[in-house]
Amino acid sequence: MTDGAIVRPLEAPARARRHPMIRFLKRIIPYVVLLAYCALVLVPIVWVMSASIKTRREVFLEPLGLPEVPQWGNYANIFESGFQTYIWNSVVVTVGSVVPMVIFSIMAAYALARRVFLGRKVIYLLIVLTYAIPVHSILIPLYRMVDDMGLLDTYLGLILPHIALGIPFSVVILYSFFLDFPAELEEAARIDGCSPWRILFAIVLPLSAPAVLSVVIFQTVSVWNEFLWASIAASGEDVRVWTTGIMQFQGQYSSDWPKILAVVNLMTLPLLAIYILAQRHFVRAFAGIGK
Amino acid sequence: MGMATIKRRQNGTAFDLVMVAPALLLFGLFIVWPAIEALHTSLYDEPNRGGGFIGLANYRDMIADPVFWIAMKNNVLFILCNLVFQVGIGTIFAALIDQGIRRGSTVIRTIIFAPLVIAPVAIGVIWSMLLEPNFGLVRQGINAAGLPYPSQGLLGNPDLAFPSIVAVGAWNYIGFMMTIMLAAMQGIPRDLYEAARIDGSSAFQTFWHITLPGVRGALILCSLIVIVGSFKTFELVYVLTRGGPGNSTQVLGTYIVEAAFQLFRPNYAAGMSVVVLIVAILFGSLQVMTSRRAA
Repeated sequence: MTDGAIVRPLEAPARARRHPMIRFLKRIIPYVVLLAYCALVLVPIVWVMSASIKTRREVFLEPLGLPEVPQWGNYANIFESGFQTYIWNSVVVTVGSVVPMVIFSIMAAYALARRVFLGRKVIYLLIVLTYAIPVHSILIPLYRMVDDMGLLDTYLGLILPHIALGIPFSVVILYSFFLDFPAELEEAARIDGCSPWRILFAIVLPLSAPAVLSVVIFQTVSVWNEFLWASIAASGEDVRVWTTGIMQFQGQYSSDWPKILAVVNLMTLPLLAIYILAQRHFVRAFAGIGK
Repeated sequence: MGMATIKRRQNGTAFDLVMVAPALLLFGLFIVWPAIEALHTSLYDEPNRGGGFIGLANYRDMIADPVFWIAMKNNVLFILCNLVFQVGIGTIFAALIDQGIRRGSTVIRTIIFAPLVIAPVAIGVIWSMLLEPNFGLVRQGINAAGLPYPSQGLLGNPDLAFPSIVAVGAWNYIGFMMTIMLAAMQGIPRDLYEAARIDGSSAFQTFWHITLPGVRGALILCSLIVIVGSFKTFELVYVLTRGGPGNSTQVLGTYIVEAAFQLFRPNYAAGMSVVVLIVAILFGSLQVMTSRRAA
C-alpha cells in the first residue's frame, strides 16, 4: 500500500490523459461480462430447482415463474417409482470401487516412487501411458470377459472394472506426491528399526492427506457419475445405478419433466453443497494436483 | 550389520511385491488384457457371420466407412473447439477476475465453477429439456427476442446440433479452466504488474507480455485436460443427440457403442476401439513428456 502511494504521482499523467468515460467503462466491463456469464450459469440451475417443484403445466407455460403451489409430491413420486434402489446401488458401487481403488493405488504408487526394485520404471510407464484410455476403447472385450465371468448385472461386474480404470490416474497423482516426500523422515524411521509397513502407515500416510483427499474426491465423483459401463454391464433392474436409472426414467416418463428434474436435482444438490463447502479441494482434485 | 542389511532387503522384496500386486493384477486383467483382446478381436469376422480370421478387413471397412470419418472429424473438431472456447474463455475470465475486479470475486468464481460438479448425464438431461424444440426455455427466449427458431430445434438440426453440444460443453467446463488459470495468475508477482503500469502499457499488452508467459504451465495443464477429456467424450453426445441427426454429431465413443450394440458389429467396433487406444496411448506419452519437462 505504501508502495502504491509512492507510485501514484508517476502514473497520474498517463491516467489523466484518458477520458473519464473510458475509465468508467474499463472498470465496469469486467463486471458486466462476468455477471452476464454468471447469469448464464445460474439460469439453468435455478430453472431445474424451480421446475422440480412445479406442475407439468407450469413447467411448459411458465418456465421462469415460481410455482403457484410447490409440488413437493414430485420428490415423493421418485421414491414411489423405486428410485431409492438405484441410489443405494450407486452408493454401494461407489464406495465398493473407491475404497479398494485408493488403497491399492497408494500401495502401488508408494512402492513405485520410494522403493528400489526391478521393473518399477517399466510398470510406472505402462500405467501412465494408459491413463487417458476411455472405457469405450476396451468396451467390447471387457463386456465379453465380465460376461464369461458371470458378473453381468452384479455389483462386482461394475466394481472390478471401475477399480482398474481408476488406478492409472490415482497412481500418477500419488506417485508425484510420494516422489517429493522428504527422504530424511523415512531414513530416520528406518534407522530406528521401523518395518516398511510401519513407515508407510505411521509416517508417510498421515502426511499424505492432501494427495489422498484429492484422489478420493476425484474418483468418488467419477464413479458416482459414470454412465457408459453401467449402461452396458448392468442394463437389468438388479443393480441399476442412478445415472442409468435417470436415462430409463427419461424414456419412460418423457413428458413428465418435473419428475425427471426432481431426480436431477436430488442427485446434484448434495454434490453442489459439498463443493461449496470444500471448493479448494474440489478444484485441486479435478486439476489432478495432489500437493 | 551386514546380516541385518541383507535381511531387511529380503523383507523389502516381499513388501514391494505385496504393495504392487493388487493394483497391477486388476490393471492387467481389466485394462491391459482387454486392450490386447480388442486388437485380437478386430482381426476376426463378426460372430454372427462365422467369426473367421479376416486379417485387416475390419480396418479396410473402417477406411471406407464415411460414418467412421465423421466421428473422427467430430472428435478432432471437439478438441479444437473446446480448446478455443473452454481454455480461451476460461483464461479471459480468469484475467478479468485477477486484474479487472475488486469485489465479489469469490462469489463469481464459485458460480462459474459450479457446473463441473453436475454429472454429465444430468447436464445432458437438463440441456435436452432447455433445447427442446417446442417448450424449451431456449426457444422461448429466442422467440421472445423476435428471432426465428428452427422447427426441429437446435439439436434436431444437422448444422446446429454440433455447435450446440460444443456450447453445452463450454457451459460445463469454462469455470474449471478459469479456476486453474486464475490460481496460476495469482502466483504472478504483483510488482511485475506495477512495473508495467508505470511503463504505461495497456491492459492487453500487460496480459500478453506478463500474464500469459507467467501461466504457461497452467495453460499446458488445461490443454491436456481438455484434449484428453474431449477425446473421451461420450455421455454428453449420447444423451443430447445419440450421435444424430443423421450421424452429424457422431463421435468415436458413440459410434463404437452403436456399432457394437445396435448394429451388432462388435468386432468392427473393436477395430475402432483399437484406433482410440492408440490415440489415447499417444496422449499418455504426451503426459509423460510434459510432466518430465515440468520436473
